[in-house]
Amino acid sequence: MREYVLKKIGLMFVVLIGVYTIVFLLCIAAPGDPARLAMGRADNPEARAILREKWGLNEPLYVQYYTTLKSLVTLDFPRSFRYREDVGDLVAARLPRTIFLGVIAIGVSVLIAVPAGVVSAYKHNSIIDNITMVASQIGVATPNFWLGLMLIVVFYTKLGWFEIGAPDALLSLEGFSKVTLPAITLGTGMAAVTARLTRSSMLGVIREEYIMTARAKGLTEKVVILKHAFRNALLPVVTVVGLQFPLIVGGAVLTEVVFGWHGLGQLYISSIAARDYPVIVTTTLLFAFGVVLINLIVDLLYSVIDPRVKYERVST
Amino acid sequence: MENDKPLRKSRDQHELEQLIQRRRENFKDKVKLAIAFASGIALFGIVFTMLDRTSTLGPLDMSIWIHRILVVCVYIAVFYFFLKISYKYFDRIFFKYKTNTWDLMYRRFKRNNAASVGLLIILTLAILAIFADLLSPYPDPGNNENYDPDYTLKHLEEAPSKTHILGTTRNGKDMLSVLIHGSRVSLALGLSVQATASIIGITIGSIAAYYSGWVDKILNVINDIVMAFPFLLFIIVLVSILREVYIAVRIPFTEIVLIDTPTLFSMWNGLAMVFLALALLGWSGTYRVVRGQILSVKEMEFVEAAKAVGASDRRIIFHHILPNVISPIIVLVTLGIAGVILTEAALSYLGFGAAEGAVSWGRAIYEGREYATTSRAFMVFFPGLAIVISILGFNSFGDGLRDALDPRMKR
Amino acid sequence: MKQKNMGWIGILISLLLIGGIVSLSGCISEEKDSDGDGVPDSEDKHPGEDDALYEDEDGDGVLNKDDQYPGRNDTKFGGTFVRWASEPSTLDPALSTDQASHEILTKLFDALVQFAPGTTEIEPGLAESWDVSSDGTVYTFTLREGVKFHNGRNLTAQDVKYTIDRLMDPATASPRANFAEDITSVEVVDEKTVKITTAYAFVPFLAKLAYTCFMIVPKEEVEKYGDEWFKNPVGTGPFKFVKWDAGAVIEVEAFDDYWGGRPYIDTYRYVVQEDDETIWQGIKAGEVSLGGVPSTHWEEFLDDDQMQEYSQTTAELVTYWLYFNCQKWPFNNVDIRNAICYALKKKEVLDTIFKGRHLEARGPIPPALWGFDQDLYDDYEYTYDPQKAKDLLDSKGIVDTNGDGIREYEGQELVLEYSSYVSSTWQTAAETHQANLREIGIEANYQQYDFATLIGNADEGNFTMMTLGWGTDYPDPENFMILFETKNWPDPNHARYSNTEFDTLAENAKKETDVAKRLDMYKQMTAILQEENPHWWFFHPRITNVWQPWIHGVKIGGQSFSNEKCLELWIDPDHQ
Repeated sequence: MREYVLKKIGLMFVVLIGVYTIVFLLCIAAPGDPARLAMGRADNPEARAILREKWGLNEPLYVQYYTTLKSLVTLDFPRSFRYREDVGDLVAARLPRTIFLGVIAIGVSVLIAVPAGVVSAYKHNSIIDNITMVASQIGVATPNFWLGLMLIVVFYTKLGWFEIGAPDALLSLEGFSKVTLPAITLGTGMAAVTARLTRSSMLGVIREEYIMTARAKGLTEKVVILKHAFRNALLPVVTVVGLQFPLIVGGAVLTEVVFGWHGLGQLYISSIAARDYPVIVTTTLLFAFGVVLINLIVDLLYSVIDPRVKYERVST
Repeated sequence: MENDKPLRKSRDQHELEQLIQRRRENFKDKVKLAIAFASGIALFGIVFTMLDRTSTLGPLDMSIWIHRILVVCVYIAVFYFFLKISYKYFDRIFFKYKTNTWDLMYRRFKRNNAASVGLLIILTLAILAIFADLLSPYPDPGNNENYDPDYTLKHLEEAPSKTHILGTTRNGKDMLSVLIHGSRVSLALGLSVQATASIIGITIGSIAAYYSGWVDKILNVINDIVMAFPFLLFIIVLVSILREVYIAVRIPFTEIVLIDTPTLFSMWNGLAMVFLALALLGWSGTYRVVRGQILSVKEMEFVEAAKAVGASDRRIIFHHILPNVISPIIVLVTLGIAGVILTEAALSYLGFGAAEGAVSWGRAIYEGREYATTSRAFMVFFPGLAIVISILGFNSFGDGLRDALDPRMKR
Repeated sequence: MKQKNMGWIGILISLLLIGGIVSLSGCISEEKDSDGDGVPDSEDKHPGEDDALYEDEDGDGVLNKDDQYPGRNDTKFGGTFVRWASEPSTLDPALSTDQASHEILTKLFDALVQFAPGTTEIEPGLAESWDVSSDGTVYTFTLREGVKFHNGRNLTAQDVKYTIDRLMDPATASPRANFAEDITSVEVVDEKTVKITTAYAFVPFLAKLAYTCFMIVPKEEVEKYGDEWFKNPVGTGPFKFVKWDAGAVIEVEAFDDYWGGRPYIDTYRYVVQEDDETIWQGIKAGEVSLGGVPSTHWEEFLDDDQMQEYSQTTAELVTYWLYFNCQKWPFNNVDIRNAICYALKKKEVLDTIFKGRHLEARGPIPPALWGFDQDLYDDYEYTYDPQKAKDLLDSKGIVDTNGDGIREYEGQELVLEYSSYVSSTWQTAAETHQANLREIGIEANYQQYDFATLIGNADEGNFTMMTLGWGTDYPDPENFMILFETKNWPDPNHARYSNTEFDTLAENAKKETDVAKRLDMYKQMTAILQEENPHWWFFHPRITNVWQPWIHGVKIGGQSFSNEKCLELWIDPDHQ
């Protein structure tokens, strides 16, 4: 088992280096010179040359590749071109906000989706079931940027129930007031998928024999559903929720831009436009790291919880 | 079904008569099916000509909302019944005398109402896409020569009216035409991306699963890299770089152009880049499914038997394994098309998808997005609605397929 | 004898009487004023203190003795002014070129001269007064007394020298170093006097000195922060720096010891928000104090009477145009340029796509700027007339020889590229222009590029026709004409236009001190440009800003809100 974990972690590093290489190549290949962009409308060739020198853009490619790689591995992050700040500090300032948004979004969606899924499975083919399924279909199909705009117009401009923007303190009244609308926008798609998955998983489990046994034993329906069916149905749900985490991070980019939620996604977009290579590379690797980590945890969880999965045979 | 056994005379006659009667019924069913199809198409035609700009059909006036809704409901109802009838006759013709796994799956699919609606939507889209020029009230908005600039300047951003049923876009083009021609892009992009990604995924997955060991490990790592890669960055840079790459090889007296991306880029107005990015990054799902399936099937007896008999690896892969693998892949492809449509919209919203001049739903949302909170919100609402409906369609159909193909469902 | 005695006594008594009366009255009028405040002790309500302290000179209800801010109405103090806009690139005055940075820099720093609020008139800034030598090359500035930096130090002439030297220093890598190109020396005459010598008499020199790159910075702070100076600014401006959360928010607060009086608002909060739609929602929700009206909500704005009351439309000193690459085929041919000017629709496009907000342009100089000539504007030859375009091309032999509808020039078909930055309005305009050009036999392909790539293309000359705009850095027509001088290839003369007559006029106009002669020179230059059309002149934008009803004292000039110091801005007490 331990061998398996170590092998997996080793592979994780290989994957990250692969991602890094591709990002590096993309940055080099992208047109647009960050030094020229820093000059704005005016241009001063000497100034530009000095900036390029300062940012190490004149070094041969393999040197740049190696220095950046080294700084990332030793966690001595490079400095952003635009803000001259350690990228680590920049990210540390913004990551909590993005994670906060993500967690609340997942929380909201799970809170709505899981009970909805359970109830629909239980009352299979009833009105509630149909409504839930249709609602979840629509939830998946709605483009989330459009949903965000509509929410802003109704709940912020017209009703004033919530605020938008980035709060100074996350765990405060202001923080919760500002996170609600973006979290709903982000969580809708996820809620839809989770609801359907919970429902189908529960449906599959309810028909298993052990449920019949439990009922035959005389247990109350509530206990049967909640204790036996639900817990067993939960595994694939948990898996999918975990796998959705990277998608949340991706979707968060759009949401952050629309709501002005100064998180990592917004920094990412503006860095790409400004060709702020250190930020682009570091943030990309951070995302990749998150994805790979989640995959690893899910894989391990799966093989631990479900002994039926013979992981030696079907995976590396 | 032919019966080779020699018959006794009386039973012979009886069987012959029964055969003839069955064939007659078969023929009648086929005729009924053909009539059903024809009437369905005729109804299509009627409904869509009614969407013409100068249209009224008797008491129905296309500029009044209730009438429009009525027409759409009638269309859906009629088409739905048409499907149901088709199912019945389809069933009788093709499956009456055969029973196999396909039949079971087909029956299960039929019973799923939502899936039928999904099929309806997909077929409608297909017809709109193929016959776009015939069905759209105004000519192709992608070709500027079709539009008189004086007219378009006077009719910018108009609300829905009698001459423009769904209003006009920021460029003065008719919104309905944009939506109809845009369905071409959505379908074409969806199909091509999924096809390419599936081919890549199937190929690589099969190779990885079949030749385990180092090959498998390396391919797994590549797959992980592709999955972990931030899609947004990739497409943004791809769009920026590949606008201006021109690689040519000089051979004496001729010059062979290897890559001429300005031309490539202007093909499809930038959607070529979206296609490339989505296809290159989208094969992970297929890969995993294929590899999983093959790995589990590989150990089964019939493969061992085939190997024992001396079948080559390629034959085993293509003849024995792939048929078992096709079903989940079809499901993935269908659901994937929905994903492509949504991603194209999201990319276009950020400005990285279809470029200027392209006619696509995502581009229409992008152009209208600044008006989303004003009284001109219809510019965003209609393309959005089109996207929602088509995604619903593909998802329902895909779910129906998946439910039908799922061997664990005991119904 | 008795008369004589009476006379003497009479005089004596009169004298005594007079003396007595005088001294008595003297006692009454010449009362004691022990505290020396000009109020006699009998009327003195506050003996021992200057009575003036108990008056309210600035009328703000606070007695002078308690009034920390004499001359400023204390009831107006307080509140936070909130702006949502794109992020500034730097807070180092020497490095900034974008409007967002300017907005914050005008609050944090001062230059020797500045513009009177809401106008383009020069008024004294850190320099109280100045002398210009007769040949116009030596400027002697007398600095104000009692100007303090935010760190408490007083301003001296050395600071001025340091700032300008730093600007010219290559190590600073300032994109605006060329603004100081004409300065040959900066001399500190004494603590409060600075002498700046230029190589030649540059008429708009003072206007140029008001630009952000000349805002005075303190040496010790620059050196203390080194590389981090751009995000830890210290200046003499009405506001002092509080914080800059990268990519999130910038805050500056009122500086008590500002030489022009403490500003009324307590905090100026600048929140980074790139999305115009979200900004508009913020304005409508009452959270954003002041912002511009985007075109997409123009009708909404026109319908809203309350919003109209608290708004102002300013004609900006900006021109948008279509650059022709005058060094490349086919725009090295002036007739083709002129033909295209005839062919493109302007007024209809402005009325429909741009909602009629902007002014049609027929030359580089906007009507709001001195140097604009109404007659030249009215007499402009190349207005929309497709028939004239066709005739012109036909007469020059640029015709369609192979019948495909596209004319040929020098053996090549006239298929051109029309590029712009990413914008829906430009796209619609471009489509109209494509049709216009097709009508006269020219094929145009439209491409959008993001701003960075577009600028790169402009610098490299990698374009045929390109839309961009230009706004003045200082309000003088010279700043527009530099775009057409040969020595300014490729930037800002992206069109790579070259005309020796024009160059001579431009050089002379920079130095011509006689106002009438100078005006005439600019007229001649405009006439040349209108004949040769290195650009297709499109429009001069008019920006409408709206603000919340509880914001008062808003002044906006032709150089936009970001150039205002906002000293007179104040907020209703119940909204503070």
